[in-house]
Amino acid sequence: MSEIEGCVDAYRAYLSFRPNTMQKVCEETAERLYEHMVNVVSTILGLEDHRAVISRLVRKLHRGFAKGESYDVIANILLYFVALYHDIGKAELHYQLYAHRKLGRPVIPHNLASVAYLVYSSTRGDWYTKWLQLFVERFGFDPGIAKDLFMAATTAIALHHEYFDYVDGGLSLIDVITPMTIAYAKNVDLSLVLHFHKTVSDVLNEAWKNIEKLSVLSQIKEYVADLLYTPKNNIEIEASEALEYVSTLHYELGGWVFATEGIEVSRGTLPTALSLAEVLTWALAIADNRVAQARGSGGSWFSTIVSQYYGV
Amino acid sequence: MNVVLQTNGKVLKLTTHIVTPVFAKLNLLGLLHIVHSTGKAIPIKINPVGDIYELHVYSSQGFEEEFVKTLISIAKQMLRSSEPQDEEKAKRKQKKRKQEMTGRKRIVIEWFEVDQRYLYSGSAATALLNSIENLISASNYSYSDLIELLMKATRHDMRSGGKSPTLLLAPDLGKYSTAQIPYDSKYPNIVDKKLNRKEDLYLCTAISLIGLHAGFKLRVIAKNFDDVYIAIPSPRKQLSGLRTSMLYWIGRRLSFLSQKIGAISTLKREGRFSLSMPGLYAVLSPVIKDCVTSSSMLSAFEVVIYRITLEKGRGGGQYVRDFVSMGLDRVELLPDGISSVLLANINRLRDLIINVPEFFKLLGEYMLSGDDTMYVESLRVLASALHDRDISNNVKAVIREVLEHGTR
Repeated sequence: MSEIEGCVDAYRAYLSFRPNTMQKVCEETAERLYEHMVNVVSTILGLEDHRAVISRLVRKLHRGFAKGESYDVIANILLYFVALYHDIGKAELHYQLYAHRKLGRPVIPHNLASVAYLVYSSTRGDWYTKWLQLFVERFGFDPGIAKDLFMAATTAIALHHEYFDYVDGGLSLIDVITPMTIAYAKNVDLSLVLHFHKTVSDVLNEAWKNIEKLSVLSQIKEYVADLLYTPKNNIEIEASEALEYVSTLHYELGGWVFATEGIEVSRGTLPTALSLAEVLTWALAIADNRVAQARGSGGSWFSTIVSQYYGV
Repeated sequence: MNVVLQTNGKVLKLTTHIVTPVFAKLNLLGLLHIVHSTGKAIPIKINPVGDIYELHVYSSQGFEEEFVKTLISIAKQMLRSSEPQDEEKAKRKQKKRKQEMTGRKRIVIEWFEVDQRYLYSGSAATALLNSIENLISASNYSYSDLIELLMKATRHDMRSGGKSPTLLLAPDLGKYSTAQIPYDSKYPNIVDKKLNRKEDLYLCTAISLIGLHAGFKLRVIAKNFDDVYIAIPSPRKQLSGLRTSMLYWIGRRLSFLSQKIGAISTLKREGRFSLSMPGLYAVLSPVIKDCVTSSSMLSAFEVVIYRITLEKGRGGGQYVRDFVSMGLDRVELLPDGISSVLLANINRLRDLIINVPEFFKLLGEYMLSGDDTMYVESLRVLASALHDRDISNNVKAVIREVLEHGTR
């Protein structure tokens, strides 16, 4: 059986049991995926201390803000973005099969699948241009910085369950842990093709419908409306392709700097971008954990540790 | 100019200039390198159109100026004053060229450290090796004008009987390079027409040179000649969004690999060192696989590998010995274990290449053919090297590690 045929069969299997099982699962669990997105967005936008740090990092990246907008607005946009998409990987086919007990394990961590969704969106169509337009046109960033912001956000999503799994003596391991190394550590088959059924749009639309009503969103609503990526067709993307972009940012800042012979490559903004990714990761983990606690779950070990650190 | 955005963001379509297809590939890599370094723009699409490439960049205000300044900055880093090795020799040279050198620095390309004539000669050398910045101001072109020049698909094909350009930048001229056709003044100048002044700006040539530095180079030094191996990655199909930056990253890693391997001298060795084209493909593969692992992305790229022999002494010529173009999709066949060991021992990779080039040759042949027996044979060659008394224990330690992780 070819890979494509296998995928088609998997889709059919998924769709065939989906209506009844979905209903059952929804009845059993207190929080649906779109509800979780809404809750985490709502929670993360309330993390004022983190927003302040993110604002300062964004200001450092920008070096001269000319539009009169507050850096808090941009910090909120980034927080909203990571919160909205951090769990979209749970809509991926393999995770759905796992959630519906048709697979013994998730095959790929959903946080990495979430990155796959965003990478897919940024390599096809004009969604990526919309991201650039927002930061370049509305806020006056250089395109290179706008790209760094995107990479920082995807890095945070990739690491929000993983960061502390590898902690060793307080070293900021975000510098050395890359999504690719996580994939190896978690024994992820990098050639795995990830599938998002086009109905993932329904999840996101439903989430957005609720999020736009949130009072905390009023400040950034006009900016983030265009950042909603809702595909009209099914999505297929290799796991490795999803991770290699984010890993590249890490390699550059971590142990390996691929200098070009005779040409000094100095992007002074990259360390700041990685620091930004780190704070976004912590903020996301805390928000995720608070929402988990609210629904009666303890949250991940990582998020518990982060919460203890902050005394929350 | 295609302005699609409202305020200070716009999409520019830059186009590679072409002398030969390889020159265009170098041009693209150089353009990507400059654009990435500016921070004022990012590539959003690469579109191969025949032998040329269209590079769509999303840019902000001031990009044109930043592009030119970055080009100058990179060119300055590439070019540096050479320190004469021998004092007496230097004095003789100084005396001989006193008049010629007055007020000027003798500058050579850092990596090659070979005679300038391999890359430039006559007025072209003077023009490029002097400050490019001065040339820009002398040429009365505004920053926008310069970018405009890069937005037109320009084929530099002036068959005016001048000497041919160096094969380093245009190896696909092949045998025709010795026939003294077809380009006037060696390289295309800024507007592709003969200017009266000697200080013409060779803009696209400078960009291609940056592309050369952003790719892979390996110099093998022999008594009467040098062999220069060069590998240039390029896209096979249209790339958009984040995908466009992957070509840049592959180039960065290949350039990094060049630094790690450095030059290889065969002066004290018997016989001619020969790293076959499949062998070089295998040498490049670990860093490529470290950057791009998905089959869909690997199949979107190819790499042009060529070996040029540069004769030493007066009247030394240059000859293309090998020239191949290979898809990067075969990189997938490089076993992960071997890839990891070679990356972990990248500082000793040079020694491995010098001592067991046959291993890389067979590994490359396995990757290109998919024939498992080649793979087994490559490991056998490696195992026999453990019995070679001429090979140091340090290298043998790496060999043992490779053998240990050689399973697929």
